[in-house]
Amino acid sequence: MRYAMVIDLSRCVGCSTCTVACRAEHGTPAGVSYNKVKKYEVGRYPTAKMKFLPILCMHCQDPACLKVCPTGATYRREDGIVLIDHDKCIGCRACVVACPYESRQFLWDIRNYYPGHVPTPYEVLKQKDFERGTVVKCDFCLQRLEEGQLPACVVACPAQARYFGDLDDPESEVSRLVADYRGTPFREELGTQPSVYYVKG
Amino acid sequence: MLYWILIAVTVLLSMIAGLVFLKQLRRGLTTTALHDSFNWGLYIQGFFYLSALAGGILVFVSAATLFKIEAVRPLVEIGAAVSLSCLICAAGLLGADLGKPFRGLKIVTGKNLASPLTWDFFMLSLCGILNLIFLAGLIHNGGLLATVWSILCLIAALAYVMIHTLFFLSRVGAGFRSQPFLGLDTLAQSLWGGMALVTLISLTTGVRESSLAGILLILTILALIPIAGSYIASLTSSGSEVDIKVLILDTFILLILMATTVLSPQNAFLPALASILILVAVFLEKSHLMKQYQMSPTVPFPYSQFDEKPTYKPTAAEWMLVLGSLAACVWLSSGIIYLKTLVGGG
Repeated sequence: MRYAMVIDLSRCVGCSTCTVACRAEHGTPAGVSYNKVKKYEVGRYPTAKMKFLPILCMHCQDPACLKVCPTGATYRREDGIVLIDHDKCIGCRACVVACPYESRQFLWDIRNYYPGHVPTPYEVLKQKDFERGTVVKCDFCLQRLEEGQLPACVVACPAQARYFGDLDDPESEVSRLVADYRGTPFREELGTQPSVYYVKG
Repeated sequence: MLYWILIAVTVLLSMIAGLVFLKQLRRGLTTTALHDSFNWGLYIQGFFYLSALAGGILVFVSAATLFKIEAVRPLVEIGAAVSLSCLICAAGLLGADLGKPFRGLKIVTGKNLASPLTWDFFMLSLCGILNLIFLAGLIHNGGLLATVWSILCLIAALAYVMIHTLFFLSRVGAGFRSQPFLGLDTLAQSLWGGMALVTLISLTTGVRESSLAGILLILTILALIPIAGSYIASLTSSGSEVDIKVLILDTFILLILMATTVLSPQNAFLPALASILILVAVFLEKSHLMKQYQMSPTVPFPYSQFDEKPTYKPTAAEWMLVLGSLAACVWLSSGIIYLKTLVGGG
């Protein structure tokens, strides 16, 4: 079993619904995003185009973040999901510096979405899972996976640009997409062997 | 009198730094100017700086012990105390930089030998222990114990200095430009800074050793060459990183030391000036090291087209903590020497 995600860049409209869904699912403090959408421009006027690149933790098979973590707080599960044990994280940020995808964030502080006001009940409920001075990142919505659901970003994407499944299963949707549309990871040349693939379907 | 004023001022600075640290413990790293794009700043720079100086002094101490150079024994004794103080203060700065400082010891149980931080922790700890053994008066010039101690000390000190070049290795792999002679530069800066401190100790304590100015001159050339080489490389390949200020300062220091050697070998002012400038140059070089790997977005162009260029301007709290740590090196060294004299070890 190796969990993987395929993102169809030809379908992505850059709406950032994935970012919002991720924030809502995890209740991340203000300023913290596990799921970002990079916007960039290609071409020149009058044929200039806006393009989008959704970026999340790539759950690499050979993660740079795991190698540099001095306490073993970053670990990789059998199913390929890379996680952080927050009780072991000392907040050295070596993993943040090492990650070439900007997928990790250090919790400088636990900020609310409405500064100057009391936290909303949802913030109170969710933010108890966050600890200032530690590093956070996407976990492929592990809790949802354990309940048999897909990650929040996959479900929420209005353009259906995201697919999720087992890459070790040749019959799975993600395997077929990667094979049929020549799925490639972002910055494949770095040799980190990401589990997130991009296709232009 | 001047000595006690110096001690009082440095203790006061360290106390202020202690208060800043306590405030930081309560409020977290929001008291710093660090952010998502610039994760390591003045604290890590100070850590690299102090540990580099400690490493440089330790190399001098172990080499003098290994070759049984009796003439510099008083300098070696004081050098070991200064080196230990620098190591303690470097560890303090590293602790200040950690999001969860009290979990720092989890590095021991983490046992991730692929991590440069793990090796750094073990090598720095080993240097601290070896330093303590020396200060306890257990290592004398000559004998098997002194030889083993010196070799271990050399290995540990040089190892952690070189490990500091690995911290940004993944950034180089991710496309960041690195100066081509980073390893040699880091090593040279450490030896250079350490020897500058030994020279200052020699000048302030009156333990004169005529060969120190010559060694300092050689190390200046050794420190200048990698930076000059990197500058030449930057002329041929766009984007290569060299801080021109450091290059000019290094050249100026070389000129001072050349003038001292040729014109006035007995002059004390010029070597003292050169030593202070060397300490400044090493600090600037560490600042440049931090910036060159963090001053542009990690994700390459064009994907980072609309990302802001990261900026970093340390806060007053950060400066206070680093200044306090540097000041602590002074009174801590004096305290260790005093304690050693008191217990009759030296």
